[in-house]
Amino acid sequence: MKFAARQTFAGRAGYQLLPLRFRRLPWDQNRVLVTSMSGDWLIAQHSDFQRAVLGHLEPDEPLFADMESRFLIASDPDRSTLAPLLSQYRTRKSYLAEGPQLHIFVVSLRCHHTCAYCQVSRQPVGESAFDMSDSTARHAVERLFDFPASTLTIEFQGGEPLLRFDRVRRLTEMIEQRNRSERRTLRFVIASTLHDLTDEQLSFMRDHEFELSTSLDGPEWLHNLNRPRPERDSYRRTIEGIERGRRALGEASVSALTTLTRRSLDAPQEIIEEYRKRGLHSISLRPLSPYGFARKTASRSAYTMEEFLKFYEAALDHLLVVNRSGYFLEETYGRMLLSLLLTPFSHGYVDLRSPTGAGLGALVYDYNGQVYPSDEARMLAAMGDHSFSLGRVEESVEAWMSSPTMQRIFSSGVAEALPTCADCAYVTLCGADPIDHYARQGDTIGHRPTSEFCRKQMGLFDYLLQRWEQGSAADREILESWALRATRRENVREAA
Amino acid sequence: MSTIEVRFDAVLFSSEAVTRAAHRYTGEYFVQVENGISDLIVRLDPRSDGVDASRIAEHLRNSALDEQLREHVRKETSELHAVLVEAALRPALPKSGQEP
Repeated sequence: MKFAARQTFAGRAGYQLLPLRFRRLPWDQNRVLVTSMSGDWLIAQHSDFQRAVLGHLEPDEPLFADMESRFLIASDPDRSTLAPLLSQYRTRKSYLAEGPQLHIFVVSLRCHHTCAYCQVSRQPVGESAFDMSDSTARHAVERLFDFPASTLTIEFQGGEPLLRFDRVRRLTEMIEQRNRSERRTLRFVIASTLHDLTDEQLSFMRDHEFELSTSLDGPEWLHNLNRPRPERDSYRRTIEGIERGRRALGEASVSALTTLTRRSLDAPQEIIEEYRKRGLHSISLRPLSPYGFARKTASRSAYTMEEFLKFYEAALDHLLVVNRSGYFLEETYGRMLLSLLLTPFSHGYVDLRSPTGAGLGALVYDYNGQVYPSDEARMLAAMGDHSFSLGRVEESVEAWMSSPTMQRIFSSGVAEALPTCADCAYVTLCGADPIDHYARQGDTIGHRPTSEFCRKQMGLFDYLLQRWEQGSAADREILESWALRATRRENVREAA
Repeated sequence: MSTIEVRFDAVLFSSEAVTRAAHRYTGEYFVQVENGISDLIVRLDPRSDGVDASRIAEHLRNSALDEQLREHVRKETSELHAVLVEAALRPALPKSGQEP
């Protein structure tokens, strides 16, 4: 018996181009990153890719099979199906099925810090007029359960929410009481300095499985400079709070993030070593935002996105050194971008969603009963710009969602439909952030060639992809381990 | 700094592809696109002295080539793209007869 000739099994000649996007690699202009509409991708020589687009690819070329398997081209329609592509696309957009999962309760604007970069326009400790009232709290809990998400993340923010822990406690009890009939999965997060944590507070948090999110800006000199208290002991108090929180709630329940000031940019290694010294296994390197006190002090503390990206590269280099030495330490934003690049899943991080996460992934209930689609919208309102207020907690969620504010957000909230983003190879993995563009450029659609958001996203995607592609086998393994870990955890938006 | 002028053959390049390519440089340059008799002319004026304009003409030519390629992809796939997105997200729509 002889095998039949190859042509016997061949389908119809030729192929159909499928929707795709591409980008020349900044580190090699002769090659391109080519992505499918669901975010699968490959890297090819520009000349080969050009032949593929113009219909000149031969079926026996390796690139043909690679492009076909990633739904960049489709051969004989009688022998192929696009159903898996639809499934992949739905998986990337799976957050759409749930509606808003992250609900931020601002229990008080009061804070004992005087940070120059504060994004939330804090108030002095004695100003109780800036606390959430009983009536606002009751209405906010009602609205929370008007949304259909099976998992609700309730994040308590301030100011310093521990200054009104009685309100945190009451809200938690009200939400759990209501949930006896609702049967949702609840997650409680408190974004706090963790200063002055009491045993009683920790006991309550343990009983209700709270997660703690705090700010640790680096070593003592840097943390105290960035986050001053009159007593000049902010670092000591934060470290004590982290250690007490970890002892009471478990190591995995306490996370920290770093807000980067101009002074931080010179200390990437010191910042990372501080996290290792404290036994932390994740770090979030967060650039300054153009809100609140950060805007007022921009001339002192601001820096360009290029400077941030240069810092990030140095920090990532050192993180890889630390990981190669056997200590696991991941950067959380990089982890999320890598998980988007290296796995088929989305994680629903509100700033990286398209349609936008503002109002569709998150809602903020401010201390005074105003409701916002994002923390950034609340910050703008604190600066006197109420463009993105959805209404009040007493109103219905239907009224919020059909408000002119939400219509404005929808109209500029789909990245795939925005100028320049529409053609970007990373768009399926990226997000639309109309409020950030409004804050920085005065326009919800924005101008991509001067967009800081775009520069940051593209810069980080490019650098992570380059490190993954060109790094040693050990570095590649480390970056892949971050990406895979991201698929095993639910998303909590890191907060200040 | 002086104006940089780059010409594109209007037979090989569409005005849309050239305009899209030129738009990518509007962050660092003031850009003018003009229809000539047989070519498309792009004029770039650096917005500041700090702009490195040494290889801008080569970059713009590459960008125009890529935009021409994107135009080809769009022409061949835009209808299919819309159909696929609609089909993929159809389960997110309310079933007929049900209130949203």
